[in-house]
Amino acid sequence: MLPTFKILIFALVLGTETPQRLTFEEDIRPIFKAYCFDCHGATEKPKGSLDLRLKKFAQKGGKSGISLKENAPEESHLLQRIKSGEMPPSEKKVPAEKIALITKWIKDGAPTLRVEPDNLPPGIGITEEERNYWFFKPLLEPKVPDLTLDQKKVAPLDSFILARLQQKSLRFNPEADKRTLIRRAYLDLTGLPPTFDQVERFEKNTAPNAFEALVDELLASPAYGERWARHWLDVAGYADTEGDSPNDSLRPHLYKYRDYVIRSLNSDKPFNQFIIEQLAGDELAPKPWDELSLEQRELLAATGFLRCGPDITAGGGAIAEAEQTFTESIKIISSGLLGLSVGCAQCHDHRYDPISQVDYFRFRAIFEPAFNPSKWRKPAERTAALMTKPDREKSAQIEKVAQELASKLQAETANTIKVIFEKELQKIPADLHEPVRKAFETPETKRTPEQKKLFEKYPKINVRAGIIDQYDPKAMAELKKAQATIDAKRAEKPKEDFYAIMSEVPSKIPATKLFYRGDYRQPLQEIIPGDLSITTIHEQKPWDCPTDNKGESSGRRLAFAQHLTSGKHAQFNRTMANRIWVYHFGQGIVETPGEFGKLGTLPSQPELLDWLALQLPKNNWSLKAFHKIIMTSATYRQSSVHRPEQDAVDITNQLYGRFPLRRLEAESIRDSILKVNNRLDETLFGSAISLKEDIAGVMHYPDNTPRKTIYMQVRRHKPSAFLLTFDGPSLSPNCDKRTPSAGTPQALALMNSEFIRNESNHLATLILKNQTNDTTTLIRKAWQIVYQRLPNSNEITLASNFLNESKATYSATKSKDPSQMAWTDLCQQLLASNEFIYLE
Amino acid sequence: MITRRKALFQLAGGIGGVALSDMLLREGLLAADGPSKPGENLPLGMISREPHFQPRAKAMISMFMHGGPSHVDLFDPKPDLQKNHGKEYTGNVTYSFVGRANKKLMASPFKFSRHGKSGTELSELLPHTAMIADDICVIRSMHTGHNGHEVSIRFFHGGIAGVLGRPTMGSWLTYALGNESKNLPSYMVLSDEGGLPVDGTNNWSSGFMPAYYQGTVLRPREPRILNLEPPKEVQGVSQQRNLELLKQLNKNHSMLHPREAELESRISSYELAASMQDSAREAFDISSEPKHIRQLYGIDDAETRSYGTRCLIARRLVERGVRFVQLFLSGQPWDNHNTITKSLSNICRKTDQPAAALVMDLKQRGLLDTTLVHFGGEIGRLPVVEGDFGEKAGRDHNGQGFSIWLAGGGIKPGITYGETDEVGHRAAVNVVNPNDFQATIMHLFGLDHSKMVYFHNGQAQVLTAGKPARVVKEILC
Repeated sequence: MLPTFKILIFALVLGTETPQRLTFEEDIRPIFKAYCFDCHGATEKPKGSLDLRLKKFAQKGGKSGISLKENAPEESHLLQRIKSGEMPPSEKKVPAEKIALITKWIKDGAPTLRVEPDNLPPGIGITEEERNYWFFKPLLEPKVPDLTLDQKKVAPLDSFILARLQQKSLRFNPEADKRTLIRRAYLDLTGLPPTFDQVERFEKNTAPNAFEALVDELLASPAYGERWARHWLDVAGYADTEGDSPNDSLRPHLYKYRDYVIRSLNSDKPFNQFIIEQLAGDELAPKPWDELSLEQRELLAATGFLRCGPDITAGGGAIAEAEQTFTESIKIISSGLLGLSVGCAQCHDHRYDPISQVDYFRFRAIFEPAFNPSKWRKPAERTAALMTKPDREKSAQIEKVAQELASKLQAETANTIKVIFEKELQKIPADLHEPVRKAFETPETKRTPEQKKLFEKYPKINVRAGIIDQYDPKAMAELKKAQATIDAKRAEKPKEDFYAIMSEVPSKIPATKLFYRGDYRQPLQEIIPGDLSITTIHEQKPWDCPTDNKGESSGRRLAFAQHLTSGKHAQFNRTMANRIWVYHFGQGIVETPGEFGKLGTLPSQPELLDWLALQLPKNNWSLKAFHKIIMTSATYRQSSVHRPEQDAVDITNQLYGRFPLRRLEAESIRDSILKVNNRLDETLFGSAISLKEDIAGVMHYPDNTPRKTIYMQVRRHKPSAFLLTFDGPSLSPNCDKRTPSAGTPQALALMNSEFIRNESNHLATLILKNQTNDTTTLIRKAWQIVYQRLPNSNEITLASNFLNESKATYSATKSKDPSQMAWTDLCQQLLASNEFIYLE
Repeated sequence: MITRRKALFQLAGGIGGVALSDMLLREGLLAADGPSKPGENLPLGMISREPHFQPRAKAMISMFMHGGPSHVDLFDPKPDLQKNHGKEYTGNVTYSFVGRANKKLMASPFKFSRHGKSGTELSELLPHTAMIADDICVIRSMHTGHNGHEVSIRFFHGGIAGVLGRPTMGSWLTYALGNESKNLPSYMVLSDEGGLPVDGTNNWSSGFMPAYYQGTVLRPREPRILNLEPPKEVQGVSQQRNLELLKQLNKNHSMLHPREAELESRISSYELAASMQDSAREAFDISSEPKHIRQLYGIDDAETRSYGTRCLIARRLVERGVRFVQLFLSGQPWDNHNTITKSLSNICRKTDQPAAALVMDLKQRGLLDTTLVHFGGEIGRLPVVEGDFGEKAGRDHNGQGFSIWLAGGGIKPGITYGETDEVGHRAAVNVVNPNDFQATIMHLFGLDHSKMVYFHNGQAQVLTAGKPARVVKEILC
């Protein structure tokens, strides 16, 4: 084989170009870490005495002899054992392209980047390469490229983008036209389109700050809070059901957390404060909690964040279920706030990122006193009551009356049973009456075998409360009536209401122990709380989490929340800046918003991300200020039209040479349709609106409740069909990013669903209300309502021809109202069309 | 690419998975679908997948008979019961209806005789099933150990007696094997126009699996599948005109966004959706079936029309690649507590001919070899009388022993398997419980029930719920 051919094959196997020079630190150790360290590195006594943490150790080998020989892959025992599939012994084998890398590295003399030390402390530790991975580097003010465009200094955000565009000889798209811009801003900030009048007014406003003023206006509207709360609820994994099996029990109180999020965003609560309250509102709300002030209520509602994950103990279960529930919540907190999936470090050191198993448990320890699986509290026990003292007293009085009625009913039931029994007794031989009566009066568990035999022989004498209707339906009806009276009495009680909260029970702080292989039944050494080591590795002094109990609560979560929002936490800041960017642009600077580690994608604009990450604290954590920085940028305001020269170098728009066009989210489609139909009920807040299950077991939004979708019940097991069809959040356990798709189920829903047909009918009625016979006027009206623009002459012809033909068909088939039908059809196509359901 | 795939398998919920496999195939994602790692679920979605080993069955039609068909009056003749009519039963009986409990044995009022070469004994209530005696395997030793309907129904569907919230058989098969059909969901339910069966929509729940593994109900009335058809008035020429207008609007819009691939693919999604709508509608439409087929299923007879139509549609679905079809009756017509002589005859008249026709029809089309057919309920009935003898006599629930039959898809034809005791009360020889039943069905589909794992809330779940379950090898051919 020719040498060049060999190289070609090699390159093909790798799928990428081969690095010039492979080194242990950069290329080989990560492979060993992923596949070998569990036994040969992480443990204090490596298996077979083979330690692979350093090349030096590998060379030394273990019990099976020399493991690695420079330039000699054939004689390197470790490579041979990996190649044969003997190692690792688990099912997960080293893939061929990685074996090829190891082979090449050995062949090239097994170089290292640095001189290796002679010894290492136990554990995997954190290497130089890992410290210097972009996401773990400290957050430093990046140098803003100094650019001018059309004699004007380019704003910082735009100069980062423009600098990269210019490197590829590209430029920004021109600014989008005003109608597109106002629609974009409305849909982005409120999830709803503007009205035709609003568009017209904006188009006529030639003031230089017109768009800025528009953004301010939208940020001040309550719909902003609802729209952006929905984004945050995806991150939190919010649901109105627990996700337990089999019931998927309802969470009747968590909606108050949803409302808290809406209120917080609308009031532009500083984002650091917002985070602190959600992680530790209970630690900020002074006790007692028996007469809750408004402030206490808000702080306790905030802790609902920690109650959003699936709580599978709702349906019963013990420690295993409690542990699982805790684990899911840790996943939400870490991916949501730190941009790292720490979950796999529960069982072993993270195979790709420098997160050790100890780190995982340090992180867990912050939340241990609150979740406390060893003294687990089920959902119903994690509440704060809203009832006042007079209400409680009134309730107690009613209960007293109900109790009296209940004991009366009990006596009546016993009497009825007795009467039936006596009647049945007459049907069996008289000599048995006495022993049977005695057996009957003996409690079931205390009956002798002889007595049990009697019941087997005469099953009908075993009269019980639950089966009275099988003997005497009339008597049963009477008893049921009495029960109904009792229920009605109890219903008179003042309604109890609760907050679903996270809090700690004042007591000795439960110890956090490292679990062998993540198994809670095998606890090892105690672990003290702390942040992940890697997040503070560049700090002079790592963050100290309080360890002892200083009062009602451990204070761990509060301290952690403050540490997180200090403004210097690089991972938190970057994660948050990227999240907000994703929601504005539909694509991320990092495309995996919950995973910034090695398993995620690299940032397309690293300097910009750091600059943005620093803007949050710099603007006193004002989200609204942050939105404004983004939305008033040239990057945001450019047109979404493709240009061939940009497509040629950057089809995926990593450089942001155009605004990315995207489909509206499920909620936004539904809300927008209701809005243009003039049907949207814009009432804020309130308990979740139940879904309707149809005959086939599919869940639907109730048709007669045109509330915004954010107020519709979010079910973990059976979400609404609409949400499922239009890529609603997959709550497993939370949703870092929705992935819009364009498939036939969506087409069918827009062609045939009851929802679209009903709403189109409403819209047709709305349009036909205009007292005119002039079809053109009506068509213009329709375009104004749906598209917020006027139709051109082609469109008028298209629509009027359609209406004529359609009316003719419906007249021929003797439809009840051909005109209404034709208009319904037209409206449906407008509402289903791309122009309506896309944000340009 | 992973995220794209993730996106695609979220699609199906709205109409129960229609077209997903097709889309995945078209997007070339099938190849990207590797084996799952230990501790991980199979890639979710409807991608067609290979089983663990060579399968015998490619599809299954299950005729679920809610209520507890009386095995001693249908499938399991008991000379001792006939002899001891009116005598006190000496064994221990658990009654559900204690108020009407009676310990006297009741002989079957129906005559049994041998049929076919196999000589399988069947009751006179099943003259059509008698004609397929040589094609079916009657299991006479079914056992759930629970007398309650829901308790045993859930045992059959989800693997644990009485427990809800578990995926049903069709969900497991779809999860394991994906969807073969281009235009139809893989797991379809044919419900009764009279209403839901007992335990309602739980009968086709996907439990803890994502909702797109739920059975898609072919509703007795339009729209037959959610979102699959427009209202009647709009069907046909009006819908075509609507789609033409929509296409025009979208094309005009696309002109302003040249090279925006997503807009283009949305336009073509409507064309695909329309063709899917047509072919699905065609699958449910039996008007093209010839007269002799209609006669076979009893479509033109008022008594058998309803169930016959569903059996015939079931065959059409299987022909079009649907993997699992389950037929239900409204309520629980086999729950014959009263007047069993009359009520049992009634329900047999409605179902016997269509059920037998299905097997005959599949056989003549060469489909029976790969299509497993199941006929059976969740429990049977007691050999003792419920209430008093006479016209009103009935039988109470019995989860201790009962019969079902299976045919095709690798099942040994013309045999009976297992026995109940002398009077038909308890399964006595070669007992088969629902977990054994499930393990056997999975086996016929080429799947090891203990290895087809779905991870839920951190726990490995299998259809048979980790309980001892045996593949009943003796009934396989």
